Amino acid sequence: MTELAMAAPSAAHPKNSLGVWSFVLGIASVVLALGIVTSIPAIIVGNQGRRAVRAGEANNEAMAPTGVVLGWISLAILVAVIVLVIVRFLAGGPDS
Amino acid sequence: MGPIPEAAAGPDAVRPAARSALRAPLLAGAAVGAATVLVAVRDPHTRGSYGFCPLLELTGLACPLCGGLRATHDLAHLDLAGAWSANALWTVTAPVVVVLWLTWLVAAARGKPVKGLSSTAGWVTLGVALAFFVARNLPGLQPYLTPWL
Repeated sequence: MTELAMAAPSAAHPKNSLGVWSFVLGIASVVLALGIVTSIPAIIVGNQGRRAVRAGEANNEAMAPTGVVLGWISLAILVAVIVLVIVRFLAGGPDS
Repeated sequence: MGPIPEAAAGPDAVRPAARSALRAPLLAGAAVGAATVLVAVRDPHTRGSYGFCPLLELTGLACPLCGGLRATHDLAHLDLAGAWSANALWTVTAPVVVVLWLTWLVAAARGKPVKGLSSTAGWVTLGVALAFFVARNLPGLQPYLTPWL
């Protein structure tokens, strides 16, 4: 079923690519550690994808929210890491 | 039987529509162009000239975009070899991005519907970026893909 649905994505659900791109950008921001470069686009595109699902123009309900959540997680990690680096610098660590 | 706005307005309506459609690609081009000029003038090869990367600072790993500013600087100065050694993936991707932007601009100028990037393009981008991330941090490939580490 899923294979058949994925074989012809563009006709019935033309905006599925929004969710996919949000997911891709979200994975990039966390797994590839690209952080703010991709997380903010992931959140923006993900919200467009959610709107497309609500409007019936996309059927990948889970993908866009996943991208949004990954984007926010990445932003949270970035803030934590920057605080960590600054604390290390102020503490005068071994390689600060 | 109300008037059909698109048909009733005739060819005169096409021009303002095309002009508003052109705003997004032109603004995007201007923003990226200005950023490129900044990176071309203010040399990112100087350590700390654009701040630091938390990932590189804490783990010593090079993310897929590491060296991207240096590669952009070198590309802007037509130093292809320098750009390649800074970030091979971005050296290849940057012209693709320029071509994609041009197709966006042309579609907007002709008043055609702008097709976004496909799902397939998204998966391919993720796969290539993941492969490059792994490859450039492998000890055997690091001298070629991340030579400054």
